Amino acid sequence: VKRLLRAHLRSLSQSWRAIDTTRARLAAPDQLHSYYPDMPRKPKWRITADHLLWAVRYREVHRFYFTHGLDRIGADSSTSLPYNGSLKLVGARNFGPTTRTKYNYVGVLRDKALFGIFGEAMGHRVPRNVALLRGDTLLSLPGRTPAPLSELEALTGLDGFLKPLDGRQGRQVHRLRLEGGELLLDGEVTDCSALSMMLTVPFLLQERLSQHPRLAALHAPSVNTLRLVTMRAPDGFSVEPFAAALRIGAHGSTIDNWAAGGVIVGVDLSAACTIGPGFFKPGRGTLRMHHPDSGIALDGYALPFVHDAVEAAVRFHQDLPGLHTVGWDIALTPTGPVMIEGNEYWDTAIHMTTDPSFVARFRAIYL
Amino acid sequence: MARSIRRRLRCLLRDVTQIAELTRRTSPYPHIEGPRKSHARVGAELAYWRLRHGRLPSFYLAGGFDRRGTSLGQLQVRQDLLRIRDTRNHTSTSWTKFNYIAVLRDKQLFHLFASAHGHRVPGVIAYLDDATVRWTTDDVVQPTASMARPFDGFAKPLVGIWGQGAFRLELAAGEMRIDGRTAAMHDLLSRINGRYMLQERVVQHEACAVLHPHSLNTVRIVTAVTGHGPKVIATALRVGVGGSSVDNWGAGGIVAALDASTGCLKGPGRFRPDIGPEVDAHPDTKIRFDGHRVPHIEAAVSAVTRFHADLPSIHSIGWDVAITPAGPVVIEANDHWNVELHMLTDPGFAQRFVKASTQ
Repeated sequence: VKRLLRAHLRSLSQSWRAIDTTRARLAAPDQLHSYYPDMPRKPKWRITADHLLWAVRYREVHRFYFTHGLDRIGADSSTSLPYNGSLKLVGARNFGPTTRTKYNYVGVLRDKALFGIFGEAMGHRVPRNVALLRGDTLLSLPGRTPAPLSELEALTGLDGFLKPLDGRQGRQVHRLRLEGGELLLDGEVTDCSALSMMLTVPFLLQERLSQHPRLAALHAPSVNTLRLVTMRAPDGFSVEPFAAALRIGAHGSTIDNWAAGGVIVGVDLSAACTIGPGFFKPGRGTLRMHHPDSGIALDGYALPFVHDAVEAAVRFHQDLPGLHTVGWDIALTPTGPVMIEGNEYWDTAIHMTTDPSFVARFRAIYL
Repeated sequence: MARSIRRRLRCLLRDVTQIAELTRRTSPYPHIEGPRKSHARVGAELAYWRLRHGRLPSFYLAGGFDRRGTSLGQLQVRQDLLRIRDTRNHTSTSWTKFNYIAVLRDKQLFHLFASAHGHRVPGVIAYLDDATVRWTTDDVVQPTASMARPFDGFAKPLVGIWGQGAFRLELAAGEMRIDGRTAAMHDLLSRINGRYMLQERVVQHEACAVLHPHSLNTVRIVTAVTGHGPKVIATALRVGVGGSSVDNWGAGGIVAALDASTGCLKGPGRFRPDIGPEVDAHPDTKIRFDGHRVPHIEAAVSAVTRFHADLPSIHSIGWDVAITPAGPVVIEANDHWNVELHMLTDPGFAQRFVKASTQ
């Protein structure tokens, strides 16, 4: 009885929190921008009612209400899924222990250094791990020979990315390069002592990849990656591509993450081209038919090596036993696809937004 | 609700039947001296344990707790140590449920991780399943059924514990030997169930080989992460018996306590309680355990503490270290290390482990 009561109280508290956040969100004008301003829009009371119903039903704020165009009259709300709920479904199958004892292979995806070590050894193309940095110590990879951080200045031609070893969503990712004898962090001059203050947790220094000119033309400062979701078939062995989108940096940013202000656009895997329009994350912008910086049309833009990328992702996933689904970030370089990272908790909102058939296919597998 | 009650009643009934059976059973360990507790006392202790912990104690008979002079308190200590080991080791590193246990459990991942971080581990010659073999030396892939390169080492399943599924494999001039016996390709294929690796044979130091030359006799070192980094909690030497190619305690091997400061074995060797008695000398080679010196212990301790520092999110690890003429080689690491082995050979172990876990 106590357990039942506690569960009901928790559920009530979650609903109340969701309603409260929804109320605050609806009061902030910058959160209410329609992604489809030219189409007939529901009245404000209806939008408020939709949000409150969602909060009560799913105990979470509908963060992508406008992104999915649900503010349009006649919009079909079944094309949207509760975000947290869908993430839980994705995670639940991946975090299932491989054996009766509690372990799984998620660590291979989450630890970026381990991902590189494993990927390289299994014959997959991954970015080269240069070193692990923490405080004022540099550990070269492979071999982990320790050296002072000042050794960075001796790495001629250094141009790479500093990433927290188990970071997510592009948080704390910085470009580090050596130019004219000076260390540049995200384009600003720095030195080893200032850098060591930032390195409070282990960071991986990974080589920067040069992307294919077709991708660079969209937005050159960032490596624009293909997000490809692969999923294990019901037989438990074969792996198939499930959804795809292209992530493009914007406004001069060095990273392409959606959460960090990038644009996402759907990808047709069979035709190897984009299916516009592009979408910013709520609060970062709305819908775009053209890239905001390069002005290139985001619909029907041909992408190189897409079929190779699908093959590479499927092959990599087959080497990771127990993982049901992985969201791969793949750089399309002039010489072919390179697997930058794999995510066990891939962002379902990206595909809900860019792929109209995604929700139905997702429901068929998970619900 | 009704289904849950039915399930609970079924479990209770099953446990009551098991308690009755265990109470009636005669002791399977003639080497353990001393009278057995009364049937009533054994039954009461088992029932008390079942009510308190929700399941029957798995180590009750194997640990000799049905003998007079033992108490349930000692069994409780074991239970506490297992709980600390498992809860601390399987804690997730972040809000998403991941940890580094797979690095220890998957032998391929372990080898890759160790090599990349500069630790000494046995070389891997090939990866194989029942269809193909990939030789790591030149990345050549060929059908397993036609593999014919010379090899002398161990075939181990990539995922496996306690030596399950591992066997010695020798390939030379068209002849194949499995665990020392001549075999044919179909024998090999029938043994390969899943993904395997061929690991080079490690040649052990004379001081270890002299105890039992047929098995690789490894040092078991338990390290735990404390506030000051990884520290050694216990050390012991595992020795094979009766010509066996493995030294595992569960597979009939002997364990002797090892003093890490001097590198000498302390006291007698011990079989697992349900397998055999205490022995002062090795039953095959007749070499006395007490005082026998094992070389390179200091280097072995240093190697495993350095290795554990690269896996700080795993609280405690049981390392199997081979002592070679050139120094220690880490054979494997276990998150699921054997608590009883150290409880029986090292009286201060439980206290040290609990202390390290609360720091």
